[in-house]
Amino acid sequence: MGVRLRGVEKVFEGGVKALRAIDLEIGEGEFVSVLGPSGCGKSTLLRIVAGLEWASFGEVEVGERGPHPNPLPAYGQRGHEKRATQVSPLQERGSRVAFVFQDAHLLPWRNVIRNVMLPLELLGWDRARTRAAAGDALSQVGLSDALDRYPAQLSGGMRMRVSLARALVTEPALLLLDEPFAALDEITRQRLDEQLRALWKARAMTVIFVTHSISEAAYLSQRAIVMSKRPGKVLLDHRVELPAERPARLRGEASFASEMRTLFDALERGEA
Amino acid sequence: MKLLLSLVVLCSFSAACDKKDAPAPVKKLTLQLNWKPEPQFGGFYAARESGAFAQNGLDVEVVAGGVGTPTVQMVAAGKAEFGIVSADELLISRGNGADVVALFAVYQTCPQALMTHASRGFKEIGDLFRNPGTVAMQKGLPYASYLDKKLGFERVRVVPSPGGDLGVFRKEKEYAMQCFVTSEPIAAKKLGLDAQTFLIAEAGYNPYTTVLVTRGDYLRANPDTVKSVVNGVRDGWTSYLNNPIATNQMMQKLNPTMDMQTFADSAAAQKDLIQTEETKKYGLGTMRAERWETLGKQLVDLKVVEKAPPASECFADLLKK
Amino acid sequence: MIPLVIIVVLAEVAVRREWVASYLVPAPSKIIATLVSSRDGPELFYATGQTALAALTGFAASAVIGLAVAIALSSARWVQRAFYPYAVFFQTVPIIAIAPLLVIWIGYGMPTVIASALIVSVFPVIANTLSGLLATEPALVDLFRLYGASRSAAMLKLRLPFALPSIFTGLRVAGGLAVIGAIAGEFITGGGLGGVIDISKTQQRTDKIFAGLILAALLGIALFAIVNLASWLMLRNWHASERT
Repeated sequence: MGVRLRGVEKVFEGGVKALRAIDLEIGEGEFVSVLGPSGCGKSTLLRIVAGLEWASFGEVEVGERGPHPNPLPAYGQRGHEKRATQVSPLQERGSRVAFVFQDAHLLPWRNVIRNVMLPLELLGWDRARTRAAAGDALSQVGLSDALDRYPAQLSGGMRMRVSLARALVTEPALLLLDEPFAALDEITRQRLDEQLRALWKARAMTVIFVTHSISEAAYLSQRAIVMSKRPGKVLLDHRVELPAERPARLRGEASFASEMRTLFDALERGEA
Repeated sequence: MKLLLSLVVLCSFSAACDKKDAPAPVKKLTLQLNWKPEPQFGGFYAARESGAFAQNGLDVEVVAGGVGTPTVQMVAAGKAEFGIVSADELLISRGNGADVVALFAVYQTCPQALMTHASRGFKEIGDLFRNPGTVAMQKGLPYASYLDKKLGFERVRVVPSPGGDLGVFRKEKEYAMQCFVTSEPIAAKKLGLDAQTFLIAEAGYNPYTTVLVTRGDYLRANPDTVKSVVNGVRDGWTSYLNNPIATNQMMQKLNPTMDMQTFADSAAAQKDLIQTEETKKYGLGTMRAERWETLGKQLVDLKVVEKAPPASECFADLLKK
Repeated sequence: MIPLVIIVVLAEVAVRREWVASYLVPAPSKIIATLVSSRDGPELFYATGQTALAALTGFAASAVIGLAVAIALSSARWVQRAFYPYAVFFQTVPIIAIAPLLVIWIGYGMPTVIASALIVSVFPVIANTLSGLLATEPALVDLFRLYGASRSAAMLKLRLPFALPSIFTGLRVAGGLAVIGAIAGEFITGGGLGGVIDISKTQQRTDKIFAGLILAALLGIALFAIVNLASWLMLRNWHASERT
């Protein structure tokens, strides 16, 4: 599932301009990370792609053009601001786009497996299929023995893995992540990065990953987009020159450091 | 000159010190009523307004009451020197250990009644209980137990008394409510309702009502004060029965829920309950030992009190003729 | 328990030594004697049963109606602004003034007592439920939007469960109020503990009044305990309030 943004701008109520003239084209199956200083609008950008916010100006297209085994309806937003309570065209694509927030945001009154079953419940799948798919997703993130636990009983890292499983349970074509591992310790974070990359490779989905962390962006993505400070625009759209196979020790290599340098410089420019 | 001045000062000083001629300090007393200002208390307000209390050196404050004012407890506890209760309340209270004594009975015939609609065609109080319907009474009052024993409540639904509110009476025909013959029936007739009343006294239960009482030990300690109060009360009632208008106007300001016409009708309706053959013989407010004894026996019979106190303890006739 | 024992002992001594007159405050021993007496005991316990039935029914009605009203009020801001003030009416109306009117409209008997219990206890349910419904975490709301959840799905699977702790807070308050409302209604219609207390007042039976009051308090406590049990059962896995 590809994403196309043309001239997208976002102005919030009260006149705060979050994004200006964003032009972006992301191909199907790409892993793209979005970097930028705090408040630069990267989260807003992600939410616009998700359909949680509407762009003030410009065009947003999410979906396929041309022949594809499962064509999904493309949609376009043009022109003026709409109220967020309006029905989002997401409902048509609900099964194909998934979002992972910075906090796991699990439903505290449901246990782990029922949390992962939620998206399929909302989409109307029958109970047996739902349970099987949820169990599957949880085994993919390595939580098969925590099915009956409640979120309050889990560590931060485990909760985030449940959130990931929930996002993957619908087998999304487009996975959006907003600084998902920011609140975790470094080791857990690296492990989850590796797990995410493996899942991406296995499923051929498009991933847009918003992050603060330069090393995370360098490690995970094929392409890194650096944004300026608010109002954000694209400063750098950089193809990451690292091999397709990214073992953990890659982080110690010189090539890795050089990628990080490129990204760091762009960020500095954006801050100025 | 100085000598004359000091002589004058001395004389006036000694005159002021002369206890015989100096006015006695005014005693402030409280008389607690058990309902709002209405003609049933006319004589008490008249006693105050006409100066009958003042000329005996008394400043008696007449305090109005309302729904559920616990006058007998207030007198027993010393919160008020004087209060208004009914004779059966007094006997119950004495049975509980309170030393309350009756001094003056306004109503020789108890004005407690049951009011229903004339269209039901009842002839006497028993009819109310022989035919299905609703009867609103304060079940805790002894008269209710008396009626239950004498007539039986099986055929009617008994509900709490609405406290003078005619709302349900207006709406329902098969409904009878507790009332004082001097108030609710008059208000009902004003609303154009066909009210018919049956006195409880006709069924045989007739305690003295609107009775002035005080504490036993207060009476023993201040016999003259109490006697003066009772005198004042009797004068006040005499005056009120002769001409109630001025006092009614004064009471109406305190209790605007009734208009002047209703006050007048009520004052007229109560005259025969207050002035009877006995009061002509023995004076207004008089009480007879036999009636206290009869009441005592009735209450024992109804198991409202365990033992009837001797009549001599219950009342003090301070104004024997 | 200890403060209660001390108070009871003090009261007993005070009455026996005549520091306080017995016709004003009855000795605790007399109250207990009245509760177990063959003359008054059965009457008091039957009355408690009647009040309990009315209070429970009123409370259940309060829960259902309060929940429904809160859900309706939460649907849109203008709805809330337009109608919430009228709900506040239920908090401020003095039931003693309304009850006689209820009797005229509904008649004597249990329906009026139940209505009285309902009127007095419904507002806390509305207020607390609404507060809980409006506090749903925005990110969770986004999550539901992302998957195209219908409004009813969002209400049933997200907003209501999220609001449960607040709902239980409201129910805890409503339980005791339902008892008060029932007794206030019974003062006017007769029957139940309200009827017994009213009659005992006229009869100057302060021991019976206190016995009735104690039974009423126990009834309120019982309702409170029931709500607490339900709260523990439903929240114990996930809410901080029931996890310690």
